[in-house]
Amino acid sequence: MEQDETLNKIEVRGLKKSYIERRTKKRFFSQCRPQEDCKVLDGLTFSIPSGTFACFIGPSGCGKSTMFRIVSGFERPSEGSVLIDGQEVTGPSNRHVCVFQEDGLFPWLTARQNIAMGTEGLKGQQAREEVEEYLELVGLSGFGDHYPHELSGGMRRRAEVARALITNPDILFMDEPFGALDFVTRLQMREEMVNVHQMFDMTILFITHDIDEALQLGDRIIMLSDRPAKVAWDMEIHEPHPRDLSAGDLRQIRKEIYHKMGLHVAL
Amino acid sequence: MVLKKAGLFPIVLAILLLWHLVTAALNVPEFMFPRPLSVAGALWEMLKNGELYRNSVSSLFRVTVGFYLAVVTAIPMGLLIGRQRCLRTILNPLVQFLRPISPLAWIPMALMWFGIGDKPAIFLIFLSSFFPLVVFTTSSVLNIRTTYLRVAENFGLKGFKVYMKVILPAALPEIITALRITLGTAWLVIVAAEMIAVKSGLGYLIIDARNSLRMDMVVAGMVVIGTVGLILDYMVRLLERMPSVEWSRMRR
Amino acid sequence: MLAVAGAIFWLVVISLLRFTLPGASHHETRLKVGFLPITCHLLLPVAMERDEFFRKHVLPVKYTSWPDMIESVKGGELDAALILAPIAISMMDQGVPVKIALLGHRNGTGLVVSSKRPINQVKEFEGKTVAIPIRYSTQNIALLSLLEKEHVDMQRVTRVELPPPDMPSALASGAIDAYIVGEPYATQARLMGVGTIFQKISSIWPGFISSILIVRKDALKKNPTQMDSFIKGLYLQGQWIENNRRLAADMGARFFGLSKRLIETVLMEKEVSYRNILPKKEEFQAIGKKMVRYGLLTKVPDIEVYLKWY
Repeated sequence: MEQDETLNKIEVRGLKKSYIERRTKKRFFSQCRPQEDCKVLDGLTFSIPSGTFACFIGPSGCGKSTMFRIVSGFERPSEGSVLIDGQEVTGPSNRHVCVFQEDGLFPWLTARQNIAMGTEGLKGQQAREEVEEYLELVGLSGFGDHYPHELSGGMRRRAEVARALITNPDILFMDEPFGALDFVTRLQMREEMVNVHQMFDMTILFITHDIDEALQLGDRIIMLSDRPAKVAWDMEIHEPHPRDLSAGDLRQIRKEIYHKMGLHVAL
Repeated sequence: MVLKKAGLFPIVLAILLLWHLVTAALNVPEFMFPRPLSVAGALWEMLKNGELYRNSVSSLFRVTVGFYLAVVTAIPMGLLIGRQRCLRTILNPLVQFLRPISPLAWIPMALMWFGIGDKPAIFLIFLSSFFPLVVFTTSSVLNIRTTYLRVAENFGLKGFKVYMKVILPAALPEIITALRITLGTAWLVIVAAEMIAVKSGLGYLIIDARNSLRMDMVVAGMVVIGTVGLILDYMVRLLERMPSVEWSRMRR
Repeated sequence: MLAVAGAIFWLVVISLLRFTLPGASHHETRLKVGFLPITCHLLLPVAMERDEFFRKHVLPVKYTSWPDMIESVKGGELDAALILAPIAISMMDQGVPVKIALLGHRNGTGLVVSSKRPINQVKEFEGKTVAIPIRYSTQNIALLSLLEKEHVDMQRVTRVELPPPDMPSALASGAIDAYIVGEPYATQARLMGVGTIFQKISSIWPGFISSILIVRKDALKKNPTQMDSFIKGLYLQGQWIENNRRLAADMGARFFGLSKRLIETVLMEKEVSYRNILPKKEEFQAIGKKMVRYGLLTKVPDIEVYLKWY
């Protein structure tokens, strides 16, 4: 688990993405009209040190998910580069596991089988024990044989997190993972994510549109501007967990974020 | 299920009664449309002399072999076409062109290539199932959520493993629906094919009964064909209850 | 997994059932002979009943329509077939390797008209629909000759091709006004009370030929003695039928799956003849010429080649 502080980080330089080249191919389906510039990302630059819980916020449709796909290796940028551990990212890797916005559990496998996907390389008994361990870790001990459609939304997310964690990744990418959950479940999941981060000591890149969520979780909050996205604000938060958002510095930061996003709410 | 079955019997009885009353009241001659009783007699006769067993087995055997051949070739092909853009560009027009051609249009060719007997019928069944299955499988692969494919990529699944562990299971619910539809067509086609290409089977039973002017046997044959068709459909429907495909029904 | 196991289990079960069916057996060494249930093919059932050789070495294959049989002959599925003479001639024209062996019988074809909507003169066929077995049939040629002789406008007579067993019911339902066909389907309309015989074709075409026996050259080459016994056996039945019509009718009815009364009625009228069934070059040339005349053939093939057996 010991990692070199200086090496293991994400380095994003001048990331640009536009969908102009796609327009000619998929003319009928593209939302872009000809001549219109379809820039989504406009020179994103940031770097994340190893072990950081980094939260990205920004108005919806600003290109958070596009950035997510590029950084995690599923799409290529039009310009700029993404370096992980000093290496250019050319594709997804099982060292950097994603939890997507949509349900990513395979519905044809039980929770246990889904989680076991991440135990490639381990042998029979050992793998089985590990799967049970992770089921327990996310509080799904009795639900190993359930299929995803037999689980609640929160349970599915837990199983998915377990599946990601069991691979023991360097980086966990999460794209609005709790967006579809009800309020209480979300709060619980946040707490657990904090625990997970502390237990596993990994780098987490977490995208959300929920400002409170970012404040609850992040060691670092990066705010993106409206489309085409740039880094609008980048701050570090050193509050210990559990955090109280209505007190002290956090209250101040929260106000500022609301302000910067152009929201005028009494807090 | 039990309740449904209990409800079925009176309905069947009512239909038979209605059939009898209408044919009797209108005084329809037996050679135009036979009464239920004479059809039952014909059924009993065919059951006793083994014709029913012999022809049902022949038909079922042909459908099984032809359909299985189609399944084991069409599904892998559909998966590949769905995945590989270049294959899609090359093969899709061909498949789309051949698909709407009724398998019965192949009868002259089937007879000349395979003579008479099981082979031409199996060939026709194969054709009737192969093209729809390829098309259905292709489209179900195209419908797979990108998230699943991304997860697979993320977990480092490659090549054959992606097909076996992600693409096939993700497409399976739609493929099973396709199997149900194509098996239904196959059963339609076997009867038509046996009227021409072979000398046994339920289709032949009907044609032979017609030629010997036995309308009661013709209708009895129809009854058997309908019943077997129902059973086949029920069997495939059992597949839809498999735990690993149930999710698609839950999602609707 | 369970589903796959189930599917495989079913395949095994149905295959076992299929291959334990009687007659599903082994390699076929018997001569495969195609026929239709018509009196013109009566030689075959009688031979099957009376001749030991036939029971051992001949496999009759029943057809219900001519096109199917044609494809089987062309594809080599059948070794021999009782088939309409014009079909055989057109096969020769197309180069299908066949030889002519025997005639099925002579006469035994009738032009049937509806008894509800009777036709009394040939002229009245104008504007009517007449069913024929297939355009390559002597029935078709006979019909056209009759129309031509009486100066009927052939364009105004609609001819449709129907499998013979369908003709009586088509006449009864009014789908057609008349049909020309080999026995017993002409007599059948009479017995059903739906039609009357307008004309027996033997009255305008004495010794009328309907079907003939053709054999494939490859089958002949493979086992000439077997083929020889087969042809000889069929030929000999002709004599016997002439002297035992009632018995022959019974055999035919059982074999064809038709009513005994029907076949007996046809045979006891003694119009159909099983004498004189060796093929003659002149008769085939005459049929060929008529086929050319009615646009069924571009030129008459050299019939003699197909009749040579030595």
